[in-house]
Amino acid sequence: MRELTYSELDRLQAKALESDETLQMDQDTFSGMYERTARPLWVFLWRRTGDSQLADDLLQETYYRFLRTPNVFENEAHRKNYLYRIAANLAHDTYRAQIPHSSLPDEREPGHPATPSADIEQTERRTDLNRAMSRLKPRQRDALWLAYAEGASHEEIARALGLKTNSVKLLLFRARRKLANLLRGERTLQ
Amino acid sequence: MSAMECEREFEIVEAVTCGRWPEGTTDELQAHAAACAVCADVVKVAVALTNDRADRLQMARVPSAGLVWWRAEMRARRDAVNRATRPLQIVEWTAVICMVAVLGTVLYWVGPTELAGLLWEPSLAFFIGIGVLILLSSLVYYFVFSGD
Repeated sequence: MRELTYSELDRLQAKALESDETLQMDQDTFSGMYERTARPLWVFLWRRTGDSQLADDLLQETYYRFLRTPNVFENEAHRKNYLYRIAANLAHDTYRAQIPHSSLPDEREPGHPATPSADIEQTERRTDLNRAMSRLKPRQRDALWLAYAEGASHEEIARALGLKTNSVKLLLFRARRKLANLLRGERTLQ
Repeated sequence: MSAMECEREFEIVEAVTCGRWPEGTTDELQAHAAACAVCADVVKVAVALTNDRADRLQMARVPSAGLVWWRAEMRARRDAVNRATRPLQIVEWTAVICMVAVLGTVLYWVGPTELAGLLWEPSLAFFIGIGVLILLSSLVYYFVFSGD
């Protein structure tokens, strides 16, 4: 196929940038929002995927999709819910594409203390939690994390995961009971 | 109150996620959490996840806002250019398919015997025909795809 000439590319680029293809937010607004949301969102993605590199990629993709969305957000909470919804869907798609994925985060990943002085009790606690979380379904993990780590309400979780509020209540109840039993070292009934 | 949820659940979650559990809460709420099965589970799970989140937040290494913005901008431009050039690519592929179809029709029309004869003993008319075809193809290609 024929290559495009520079003049044609310039013309097409100018045309493309004049259209509605640009990002739906200015850089200053984005920076403020990013500073408030990026780290918790990365932790959510990392906890969900168990892979820091994948969490990095999904973080970038989440913000890209967010910036391209033409939605008008009512407030900061609405914006945050939408961001988590994109992230949860991306993680869900990745999970489906990569089955079987262990979803058990690696404690020796970059950034984790691997020195002899590392707190053994803390590491054991994390390992217990990782094991227990890996035995939950992805949707259960998402709901629990949003509810008890992020402090989101049932309505916010419903919006973030694209579920009905009553479904969230049932999902949370089952997931919570299962995780609590696993953390106590009991055999779960489910 | 039902077996699935407790009306004091959110009070406990708020205290845990804000770092006020158990010291910053009343004895009455702590006693309730110890007695209520739902709230006992809530405390167990919320404390574990909140502590984990706090640990992970300290370790999280995220790229700068500027870098994420720049990457998003570059990708938006690339996507826009790809979208803008898509009609051109469709026209190009349509032309290729048409040319292949015309060539196939001609070959079918000429027939394998006559074609073999032309290839083994090419006549002047055959060469002229091929030359005209190449010339016309080049002209069509130039006028269709050269833009302004």
